[in-house]
Amino acid sequence: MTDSGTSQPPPENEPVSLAADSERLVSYLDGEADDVASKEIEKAMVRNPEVRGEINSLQRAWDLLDYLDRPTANKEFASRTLELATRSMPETPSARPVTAPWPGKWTWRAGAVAFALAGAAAVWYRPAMDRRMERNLPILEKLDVYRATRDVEFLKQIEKENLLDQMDHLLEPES
Amino acid sequence: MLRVKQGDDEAFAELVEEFQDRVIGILYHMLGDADEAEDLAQEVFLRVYRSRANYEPTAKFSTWLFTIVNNLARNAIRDRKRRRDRHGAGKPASSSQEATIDRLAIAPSGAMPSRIFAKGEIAEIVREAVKQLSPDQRLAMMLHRFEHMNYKQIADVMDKTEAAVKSLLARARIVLRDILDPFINPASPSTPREEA
Repeated sequence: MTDSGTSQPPPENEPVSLAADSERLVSYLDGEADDVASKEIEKAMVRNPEVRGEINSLQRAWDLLDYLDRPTANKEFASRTLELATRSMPETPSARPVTAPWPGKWTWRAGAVAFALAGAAAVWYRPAMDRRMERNLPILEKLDVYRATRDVEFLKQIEKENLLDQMDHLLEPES
Repeated sequence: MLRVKQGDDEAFAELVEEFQDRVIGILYHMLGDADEAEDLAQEVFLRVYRSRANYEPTAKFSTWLFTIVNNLARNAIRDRKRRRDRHGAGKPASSSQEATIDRLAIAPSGAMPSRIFAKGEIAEIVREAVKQLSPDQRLAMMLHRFEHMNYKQIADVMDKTEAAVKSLLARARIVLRDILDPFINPASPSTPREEA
């Protein structure tokens, strides 16, 4: 709530004065004054012609508001408004179209994204695997020899003496 | 409104028909332009429609409706003021309104104070007098006079205290009385004719 600033009304048993009591007089005219305030103002009206004049002039000015023109709506106003309302918001709270709960459109979108990521991963992973195979090819070619020796020092020795290549020839099956 | 909440569009049309003139009437005197008032009234009802699902019948429907009217009218007045400030115009209406009131007081016969005003002339004088009120005073006046709302209901619509509403309405009555007194009480010492 905001208050645009109001003056504190005088105590109800104080005599009515014009300058200070305009709010009290207006609330009396508006039918908002309590019984005590109303009786006080009515007594003041009888006693004081100025108070009576003030009340009368405030009421007469207010009554002139009945002369204000009150424009009426265009004939199509209601139908046009309804059309605009239903066009801009076709869904009514009770008549919302029923949609399948699963899979929803977001599920489909999430699935498509996951599929795309999986494809990208496969494309990236395949060359990486190929590169590793290529790097390890010399070892794979002599894997049988390495398994047969089971001694690293011995392998280093025969590698140094270039005996591994000769062993390859010996191990090659005769055609 | 409960039928509207349940999605009954026919009920919405009935609701618009019931309140359209009252909403347009208030907006017209808040904005001073019939076309703008009708456009804004339409926006008021569109907002009612859009928020129908959230409507709770804890307050009177009219209180809720006029709260929307108040918010939109205040926004429109603020936008208009901003546009006017941007274009460097000050307060163009005020002096011309005062001139209208003075012109109507004296013309055409110059026979004040015994001059009798035609109904149309009184309407014009009152309309110009109402324009002298602040937007808050104007709305409080309209809600009280034409919607027969009490201080509490007006306070709810305008988001103010009852004391603030009491003060607004007292000021509104005094401003109107001061402007209109020469027309309703020709012997008044502030008659424009006598000042001239």
